Amino acid sequence: MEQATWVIAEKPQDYPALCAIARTLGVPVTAVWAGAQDDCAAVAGCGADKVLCASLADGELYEQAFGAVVEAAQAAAPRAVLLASTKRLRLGAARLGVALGTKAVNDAASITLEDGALVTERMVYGGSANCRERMAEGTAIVLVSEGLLAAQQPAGGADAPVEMLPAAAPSAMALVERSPRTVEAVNLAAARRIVSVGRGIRAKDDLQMIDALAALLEAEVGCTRPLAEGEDWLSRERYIGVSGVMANPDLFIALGLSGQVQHMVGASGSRTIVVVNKDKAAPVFKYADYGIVGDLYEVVPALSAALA
Amino acid sequence: MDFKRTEEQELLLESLRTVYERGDFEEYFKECDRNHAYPSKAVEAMVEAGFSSLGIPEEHGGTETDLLTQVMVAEEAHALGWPSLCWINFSTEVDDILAFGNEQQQAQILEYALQGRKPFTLGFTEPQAGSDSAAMATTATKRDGKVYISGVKTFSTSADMAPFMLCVARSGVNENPYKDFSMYLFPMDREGVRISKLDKIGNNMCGTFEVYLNDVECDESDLVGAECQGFYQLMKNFEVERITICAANVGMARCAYDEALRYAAQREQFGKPIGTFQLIQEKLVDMRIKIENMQNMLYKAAWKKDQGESVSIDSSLLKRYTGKAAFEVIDDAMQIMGGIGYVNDCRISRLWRDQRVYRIMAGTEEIMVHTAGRALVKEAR
Amino acid sequence: MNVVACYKVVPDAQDIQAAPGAAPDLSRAERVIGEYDLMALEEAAKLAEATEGRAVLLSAGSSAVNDTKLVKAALSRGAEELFCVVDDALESADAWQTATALAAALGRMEYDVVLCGEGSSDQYAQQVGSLLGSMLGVPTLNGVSAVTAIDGKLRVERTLEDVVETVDVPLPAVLCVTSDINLPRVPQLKDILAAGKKPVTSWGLDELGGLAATAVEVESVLAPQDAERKHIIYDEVSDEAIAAVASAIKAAR
Repeated sequence: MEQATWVIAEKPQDYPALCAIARTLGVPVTAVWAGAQDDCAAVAGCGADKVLCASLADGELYEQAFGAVVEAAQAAAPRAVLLASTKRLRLGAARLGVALGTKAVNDAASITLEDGALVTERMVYGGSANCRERMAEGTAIVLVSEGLLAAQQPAGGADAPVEMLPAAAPSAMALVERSPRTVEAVNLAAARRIVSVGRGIRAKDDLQMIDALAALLEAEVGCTRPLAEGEDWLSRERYIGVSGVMANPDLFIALGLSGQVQHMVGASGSRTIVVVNKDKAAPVFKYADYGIVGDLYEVVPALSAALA
Repeated sequence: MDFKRTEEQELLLESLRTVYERGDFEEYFKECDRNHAYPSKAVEAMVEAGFSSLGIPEEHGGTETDLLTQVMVAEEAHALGWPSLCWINFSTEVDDILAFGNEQQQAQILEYALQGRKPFTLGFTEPQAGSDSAAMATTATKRDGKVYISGVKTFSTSADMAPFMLCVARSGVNENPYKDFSMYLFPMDREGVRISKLDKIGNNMCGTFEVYLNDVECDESDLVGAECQGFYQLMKNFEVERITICAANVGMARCAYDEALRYAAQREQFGKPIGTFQLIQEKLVDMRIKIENMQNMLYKAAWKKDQGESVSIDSSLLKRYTGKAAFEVIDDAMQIMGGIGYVNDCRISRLWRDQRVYRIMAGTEEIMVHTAGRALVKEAR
Repeated sequence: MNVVACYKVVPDAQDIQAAPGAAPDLSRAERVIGEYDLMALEEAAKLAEATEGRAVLLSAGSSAVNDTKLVKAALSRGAEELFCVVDDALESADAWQTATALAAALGRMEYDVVLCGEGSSDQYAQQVGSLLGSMLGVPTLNGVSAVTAIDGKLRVERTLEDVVETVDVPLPAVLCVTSDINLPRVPQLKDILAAGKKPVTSWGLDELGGLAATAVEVESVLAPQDAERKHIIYDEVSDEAIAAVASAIKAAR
């Protein structure tokens, strides 16, 4: 077994934070890059001791290049592999897991070394509980949560030497087309202020009233799952919750939403939470620093007027 | 004895709740209530999910189901907040036409029922013939191989939307009125039919009409069941109609109770939730007792009907009891809600307006004493 | 095309009681089909219909999987048959153990494509489908937002963070579908009644190589300590309430 921690991300800019976390595990850090060879230089200066590069040609599937990473990991058997929590790397983590005989721990909110074992924490049951897991032997494969990555003081350093990995056997799958996704440019995970709405809003047009309040506060608008996936009134990027965005703002205003744990867990790290709901018994009031029991159609315009 | 719902019933009710939840109908119903409009958007969603097919034979595209299951589904829909007189599973109409209709009538009526469209309005009550059905004066006169119907019917539900009327008229062959009524089924767009809407205090989403019949030409084949057997057929209709109506009673009472209970648990006065006051608790407890009683009675009557037993007494007892008990539950719910319960934004105000007529329609609670009381004493003789 | 949809029986998140710092109480939680697995079931039914093939279901878990109501709930959604691996040792199985059991079961089944949900609604590890595909050594993709069958292979749309890919996938394959790939059907009474008559094949773990060893040990599962909140709640909308909350908002921003 190689006494090294591997770090893998899809974007060069995620490496400094990943390398910083890897450093706390006390063994040399290897940055593994599957992507355009030109970007390797950017990865090399992020604080790793060594860089492994699996070159990805234009028009090739990411999963094809990642096959080289899996083969290298199988040969090297690193102590740990830390990955950014993206969709492709969730699949990649599972492939590494099968090659190395273990599952990946997903969305770890903390990663520590205790008595030589790697200990992680992640949410389960829709945010109702935290699960602490321990990996004493073999390779620990951990997908690092967005929150932990964002909170990290990034590492940096001199350019590490780059080693090219041999190409993997060709994939049976073929990329037909790749197009940029028309994603609304919104990053709720990084927003300082969020106004989140739920089913209390009765019509799509009424969102103007929410937008107006958000504009006054220079806040982003977020929502519960039904508004993004049932009604399609807001883009999926604005959906806060266990299978959506985990936000961490200074101010979170919850309007007309009941406060199901699956949604609120995405906001529970907020410094101040303000709640408006018609139903005093709604669970959302449990999370409130300030709350008004009332119809958002009455309260939101009044708040906007008071804040203008 | 087993009080547990079958797994199939539980899953069906889960499906109902899913459709209701996905539709998010509450605001829509409020709007329809305010505008006196039929809730077609919600109706379409329920029809698409198959709820209108319950109880319709498979050869007509439906799903055969016992009455008990149909009643449970109707009750649950009303308990979720579905508006009164707008439920889309027409158990009574289906039962009527299957019992008495000819093949062609069955095909026509069941097709509408399958689409969730009320297939016919009932032409029973007349201005001078309410509880006294025998006083019906509408006539069916035979002339040149045709039948001509003339008279005035009133309190005909959905006469504006139903494609047919099931009309009871005197055939004029027997002096004894009970042996002289016949039932006819004819399209509402036939010449000589005119309707006039009644302005009433509730049930805004479902119109009620006076229907003027002026020499409406029918074929002999428009007869439903046997000639001069109309009165007995009508009594059979009432048995099923009363059971299905009572499902709405139980559902509406539950809807009001659930809301009042939640409110009592959260509304604070004098520094504590009003649900901690015994005067409120007494109301809640009595409401709950009435709901339990109504539900048990309802299920048992439906079960007996499914077993092929007579429900003539049961349906009268059920109608008398649930009409009044549901009214009391809803009235108490409004009392617990206080002023909020009286404003139209609160669902309980709608339930209070809508349910009141269930003590009157399909047999007043007074006439239920007559029908059940007479039969009970007759049994004991 | 033989399509297999996998699902997990999970405690309903709404029923989970969790006192801060204590293990969540699952005993009173109703068992339901995982919320995100319903999309896999729906997509399997649609794919089987489009290819004039056959959709079957596969689940691994404790005896709750065999609960007749849950079996009917699953089979009322379009699939023709259920296969399951049932063993109480699977009650607390992790993604590795579950995927191993599913892979062993698939070894006895015919399949062209296996569909999994985005993640289970209790663990939401989003790993089982990807592990399963790698264990079977077949083409595997996650984030699948559309599937069509063309010329004996699958054309898959895959929605990632900032790109959408179209990928041709040869069979057999394992695909993990997104939670918005479709709106799962609402079972009708005729579907529910028919579900009770569909065949169910149940295997024990002992027939399939036993419970896999896992390298990840669960130390504890505990509800988080609630953050301290001020709980200043105004019961009515009044000018004072609006003014007070508006100034709290100003202070917090």
